[in-house]
Amino acid sequence: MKRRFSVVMATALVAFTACVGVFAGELKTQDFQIGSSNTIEMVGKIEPNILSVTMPAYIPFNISNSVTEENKVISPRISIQNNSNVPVQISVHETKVDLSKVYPVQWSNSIIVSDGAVMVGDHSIAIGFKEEEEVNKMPTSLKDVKWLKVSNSQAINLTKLSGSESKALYVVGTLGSWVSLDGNFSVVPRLVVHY
Amino acid sequence: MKTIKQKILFLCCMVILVAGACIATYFLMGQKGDQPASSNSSNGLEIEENAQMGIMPGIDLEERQKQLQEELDNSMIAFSVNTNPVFEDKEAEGNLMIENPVHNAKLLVAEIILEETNEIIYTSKALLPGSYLENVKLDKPLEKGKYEALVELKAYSEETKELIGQTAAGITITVLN
Repeated sequence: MKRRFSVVMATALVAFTACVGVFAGELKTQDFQIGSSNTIEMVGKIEPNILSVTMPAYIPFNISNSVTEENKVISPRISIQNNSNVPVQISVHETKVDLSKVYPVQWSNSIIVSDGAVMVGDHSIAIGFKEEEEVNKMPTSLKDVKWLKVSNSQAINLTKLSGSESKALYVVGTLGSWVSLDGNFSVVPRLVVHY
Repeated sequence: MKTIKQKILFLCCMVILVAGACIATYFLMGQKGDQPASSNSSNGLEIEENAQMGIMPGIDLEERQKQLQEELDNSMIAFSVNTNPVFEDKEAEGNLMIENPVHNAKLLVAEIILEETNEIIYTSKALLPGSYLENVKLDKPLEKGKYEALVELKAYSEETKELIGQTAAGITITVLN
């Protein structure tokens, strides 16, 4: 009985020692002499720059000469949230306009400002974006508007957002005195967010 | 004798007829009084048949803005994307890392468009809300180099599969070899 117990104990001891040896072998330890130098491998990993935002995919609006303010557009509040920690910029890279259903209305790429008032041609229409000045209030004036231009290859910067910041924009615009809209037209700006 | 009876019967019939005529006239006049002026009314005032019931769009600005706000809020999308995807070579997959968060409740389709040529070099299949696409292989492989591109995200309704709208993010693609 004693002999059997001794054999079991001896086997267990050998197994334990072997295990310690195996796991100890995985630890890379090195002895350094005081005053000597050596190299240590440092492994770095480049984390991808993840951009994360919340923004609209579709922006509906109405425009009418019956609006008494300088800004003739009824616009929803366009909220854009930067969910990243780094600043991002919102810009328009391309604007597609379809005015075929409201002929002979034309798109106005050139905006004339006369005595502080924005002027467009009698048959023209001009649309842009403006940053919110007063919370939850549609802009009434057309000052500091970023106007949308058709067939324009240059990006139009609309706003910048710091990390985790949220901002709001409104669609604004005006139309000529002879424009009598009785139909839908579409303005499709390609809103782009980038670092 | 018979003549008197006949006379009384005749008179009764006349009374009943007159009373009936009076009652019928009363009800007919009453019904006409309840009706609005129609195309057959005596003063010639006609009701416009093309008019629609309700408040005319654009008249109540606040109400119209509320409707527009609702449409816009329904189109809001959240997304994440890697702005610097790297491809080992033109045949390899790159880490685009597009996420369609679960609260979007919309399907997202991603397209990669080269800014210089406007060429679409990749189109994904629809991403369900709460899913992400980590690595993608370009449909049109690129040679070694750096390319400015846009990831255009098209949002579709989960129910109807109709296009809601789109938005885009600027990225720089790197092909190492």
